[in-house]
Amino acid sequence: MMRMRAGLLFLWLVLCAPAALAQAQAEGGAAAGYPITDGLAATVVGTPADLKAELPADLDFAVRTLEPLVERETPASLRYARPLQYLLVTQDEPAPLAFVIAGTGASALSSKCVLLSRALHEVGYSVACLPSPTSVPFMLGAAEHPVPGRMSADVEELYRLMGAVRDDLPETTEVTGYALTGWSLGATEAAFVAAHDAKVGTFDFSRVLLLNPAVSVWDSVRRMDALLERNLDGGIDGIPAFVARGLGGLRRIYSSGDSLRFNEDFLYRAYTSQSPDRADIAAIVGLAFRLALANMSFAADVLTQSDVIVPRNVELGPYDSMDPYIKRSFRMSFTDYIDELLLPYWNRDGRDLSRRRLIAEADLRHIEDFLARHEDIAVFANADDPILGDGDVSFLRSTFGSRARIRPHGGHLGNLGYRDTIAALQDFFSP
Amino acid sequence: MNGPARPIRRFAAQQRLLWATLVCLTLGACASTPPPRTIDADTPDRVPVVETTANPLAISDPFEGFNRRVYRFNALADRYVLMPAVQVYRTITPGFARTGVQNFFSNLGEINTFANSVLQAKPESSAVTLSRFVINSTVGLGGLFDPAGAIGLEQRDEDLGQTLGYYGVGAGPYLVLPFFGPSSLRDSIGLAGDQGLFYAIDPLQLDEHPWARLPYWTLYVINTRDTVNFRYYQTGSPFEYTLVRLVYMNYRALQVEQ
Repeated sequence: MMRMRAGLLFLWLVLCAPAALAQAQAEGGAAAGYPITDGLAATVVGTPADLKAELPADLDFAVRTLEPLVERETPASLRYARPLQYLLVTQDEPAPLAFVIAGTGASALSSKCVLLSRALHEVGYSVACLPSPTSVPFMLGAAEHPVPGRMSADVEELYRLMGAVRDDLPETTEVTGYALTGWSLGATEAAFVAAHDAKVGTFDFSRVLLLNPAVSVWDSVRRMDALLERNLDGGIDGIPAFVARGLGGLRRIYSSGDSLRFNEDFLYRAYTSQSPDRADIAAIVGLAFRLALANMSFAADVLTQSDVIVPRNVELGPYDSMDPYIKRSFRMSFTDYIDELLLPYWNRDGRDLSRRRLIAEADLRHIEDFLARHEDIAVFANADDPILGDGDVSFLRSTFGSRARIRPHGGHLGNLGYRDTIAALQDFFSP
Repeated sequence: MNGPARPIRRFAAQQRLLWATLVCLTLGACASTPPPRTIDADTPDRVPVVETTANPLAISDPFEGFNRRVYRFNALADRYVLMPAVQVYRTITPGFARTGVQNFFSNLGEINTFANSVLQAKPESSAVTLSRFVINSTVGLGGLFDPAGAIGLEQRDEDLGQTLGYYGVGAGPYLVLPFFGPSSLRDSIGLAGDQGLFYAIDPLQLDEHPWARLPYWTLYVINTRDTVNFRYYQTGSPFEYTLVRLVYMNYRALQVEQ
């Protein structure tokens, strides 16, 4: 399980990353601090191995399985997403439990879950990492409304999952209190969960940390749509050409005699030894989000039989080719998702939920007062995060004040594993 | 300078021809299915990129129904048999011992790498692999350690599938093999050939010690699973099968070219 990151990374890499590795240019200057000064590049490359925080490696992780929280038949094409799981690591002594909410499309077994669990465990927490409401296992096993994107509904379902996790903890685990964190969309959701909990009072979180949240979810995803539109020639139909170019880049690395190995540091070394084309990096970021969206759109469509991707009269068997639906899924932009799946779902019984309201609800400004008032909620962000606009960064700065840790560089989560970031995180959560 | 090189080159050319003939004879049958075009320097200009393996949906997969069944079977076998075994293995074996086991099997693998480097007439790769095998088998205590790597002899990666590819055999349709996972028709034949060679050479003399077979293969399987960085359904994507197919076919094409 510690190794799963490489598998994903590898897929991601060959699907898109190689295109980024074209000419030759090293990162300028040996300045201290996080070394990648381009937000998009940081998002793709992450933290170089020797700058990563050193964390205890041999933790006793348990992947725990929950009974589904909703009753539904599993469509054959989504069988793989069973069962509903979360990642748990516990302290031997009585300890507070930290919930971690995964980011867009991520499951509870994502590498960031492992990273954050290690960091939090080291400072005395038991940690439960939860799948994102936008991940297919969550949609299938935990979501009454399997069309994620309406913040109030997603938060309610997360809250219910957290309750189920609390009830599922092994009897030997004694919980003395609760804390909460999450990254990316999971961070935005964590803020809303905290606001909800302040009213309901089930967990009474002692500390809440938002790691690179989206301020306005729909503004952020529109930025990701735009990255693809602007930087991938021919749009989704341009993927083959993009992959071919990427393979060409890999071939050049090989033929230059550089025996680059596919390990966790591959991207960083490739980034520094080759010079990436900025548009290609932007396309990679856009494609990574598009892949997560395609997964989510497909699952939402199949679960609600919305007739947008898979025609209603088609019963997809477990071993059928999905080629026609892959294409359709990848063509869906976030805007298409709102218009063709999300809004029709909420308005299916004649209601009239407006687009504007849906968008306004999924914005941290919606709970600005709560965030400004609560001393135990903090945020980590990067000024060059491609999911944020300038207005978003200043909103975080003014709302959180001294509780905002905003670095100039790091992109979207690129510096999450960086030792200073982890040290600040551990500092925040320390008693 | 040029003098002595020429006969070697001629020898290499002859060997290539011999192999190409052999391969054409044995694989004649594959020629009837159009191979998926990989995207590389030999791809004819008239072939559009969308008809190559760079297009995830253009990869030849006539046995997709079968392949998807095997993929599912592998995922279940992984979840209920292999990974639990690996978990137990990790719990009872300290890290340095696991590294030793990994080195040991990796060292045995050099035999195949060497054979295929020779078959592809790659002198550098052959020399490096042979040196690695000799050094690691002796100084490295039967392959438990990797001193050759420490002095800069990096491990090469050749197998019969790549050798066939080197002599122009196309990958053929995509195949998913039980337990072994993603493959192609060509690579499956290569895998069988590599295993056959290993049996024929029998470097551990398992023939004379049949009792050692079960522990050997058990450890072999567990070690292999322990070292492969892949978890089924970890991508979280309903399209994982297609993504893996894309990665496999293109990664192999790159390896063949190397």
